[in-house]
Amino acid sequence: MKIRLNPPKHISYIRRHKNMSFSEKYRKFLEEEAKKAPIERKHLDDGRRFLISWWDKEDRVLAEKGFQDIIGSVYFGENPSKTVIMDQKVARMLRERIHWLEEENMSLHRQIGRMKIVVFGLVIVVIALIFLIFL
Amino acid sequence: MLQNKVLDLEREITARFIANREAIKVLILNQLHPRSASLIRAPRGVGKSTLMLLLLKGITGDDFVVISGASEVKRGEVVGRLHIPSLEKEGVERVLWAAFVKSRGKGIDELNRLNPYTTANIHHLMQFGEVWAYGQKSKVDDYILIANENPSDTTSFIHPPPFYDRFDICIFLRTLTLSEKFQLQEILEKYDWNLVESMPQILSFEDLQEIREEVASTEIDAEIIGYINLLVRDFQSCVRDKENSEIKPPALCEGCHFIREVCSVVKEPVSERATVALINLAKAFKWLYGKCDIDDIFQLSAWVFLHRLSLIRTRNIMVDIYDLLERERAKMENRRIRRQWTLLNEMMKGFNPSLYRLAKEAAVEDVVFAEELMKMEEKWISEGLIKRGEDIATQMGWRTYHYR
Repeated sequence: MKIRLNPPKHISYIRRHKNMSFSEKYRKFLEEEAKKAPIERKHLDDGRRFLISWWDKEDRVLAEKGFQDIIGSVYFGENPSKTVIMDQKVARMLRERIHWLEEENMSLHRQIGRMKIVVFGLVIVVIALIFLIFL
Repeated sequence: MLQNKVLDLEREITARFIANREAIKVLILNQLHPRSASLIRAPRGVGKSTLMLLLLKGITGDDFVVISGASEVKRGEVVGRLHIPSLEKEGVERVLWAAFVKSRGKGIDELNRLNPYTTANIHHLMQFGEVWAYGQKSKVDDYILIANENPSDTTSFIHPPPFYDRFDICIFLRTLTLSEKFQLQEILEKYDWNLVESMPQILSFEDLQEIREEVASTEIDAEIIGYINLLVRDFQSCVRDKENSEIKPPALCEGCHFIREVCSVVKEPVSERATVALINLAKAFKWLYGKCDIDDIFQLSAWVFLHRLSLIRTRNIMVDIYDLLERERAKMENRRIRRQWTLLNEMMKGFNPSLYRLAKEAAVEDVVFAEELMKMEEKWISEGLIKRGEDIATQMGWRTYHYR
């Protein structure tokens, strides 16, 4: 027996729109946006499968002043543009780097704490020596 | 040319009213569609009433009536009163409609002090273009309505948000800078301390109606309409249905995937009237200046959203709205870079698993895009192209609710 899971009765999803109707202006808007930011389909040997790619060569943001790449602004001190794009790999790398820096920061913080105690001890020893020598 | 007359009107007003140029510009643009309603908000003594009177005089000459919330305004003075002699002699109830109803120019001074009964009558007038008194109805002809109020004035009455929603735009005026104060004093001397009296009538109401017809027939690009709809939707959408939820943001947003999005900052979303108001302004802008692009839409939208939005935390509503609009700009650019609309356009032609995978990735970052994708997913599920469980709505636990 086939059991079919349905959503609760008081809630129903928008369903079974076999002929979904969209406004003509909406279609036109999507078409115009698609023209401005096209994608490229590269068909593979069998003709059925294809690769999707796109270039940001003609993007308006590239024409803006400043670096669009996060690396440029982080490592080369360039001014970032209004929109900065970050690759997944770069994001991961930055996250690791921030994590590493935080750990480094914590260890240095601990070292400073230890050094403070040492300095404090030495100051007491010096004062004690001065006291013993001169009195 | 009618455009020149409108520009003359702007020139005459700016010659008498210092600073706030952007506000004056949008105030004039808003008069170019039928039954326009504008709200001016400013602290005391900044010139709300002066600006209102300058505009009323410039368009309607002397055919305007101003009622004041500060004085005791009764229903009879705003809507109509019973003609006693007709009732006594003939036993007939005749209504004498108030000058406010019949005049082309309608001004409301200190709107926040208006009593709820008068407000309800004006609300009805703005909603249906008619007034009722003693069981009789009177149709109200085309008009311009300009109201002003001081938001920090403590009043006896708080008007309901739907009433304010009937105002197409809300402009904020600021106090004058040091140099502007000198300019004001020079202008006051030039016009013999009577700015409003010296204001000439630039447009006749017939001119205005002709302009309104031309503006209504002005076509704006599908791209601009698309961006207007997108902008409004961004200020409305919520995967947790905040419009109908008893719990409002920020409590509603706890644990939500979109916690850092614009939607989480908006407590009460804008109404659909914001779209209508923005489209009217865009048409007027194109009619007057010959073009209207996305930057103009962003500039105009601030005045449309100001009185319609409620944010979770407001420091300075103008600054907050501009910050949100700046975030919106970046978001729209991001959508284009991710090819979201291109993907949607392709998928409207037919289902493709590779494109669908990319679209799902984009939907995780964008509520408005997710809504559109979820609608398509339902179609694909019904056609057997994908299974329930593979769709983003199920995977992310988002639902689009509607009654059976």
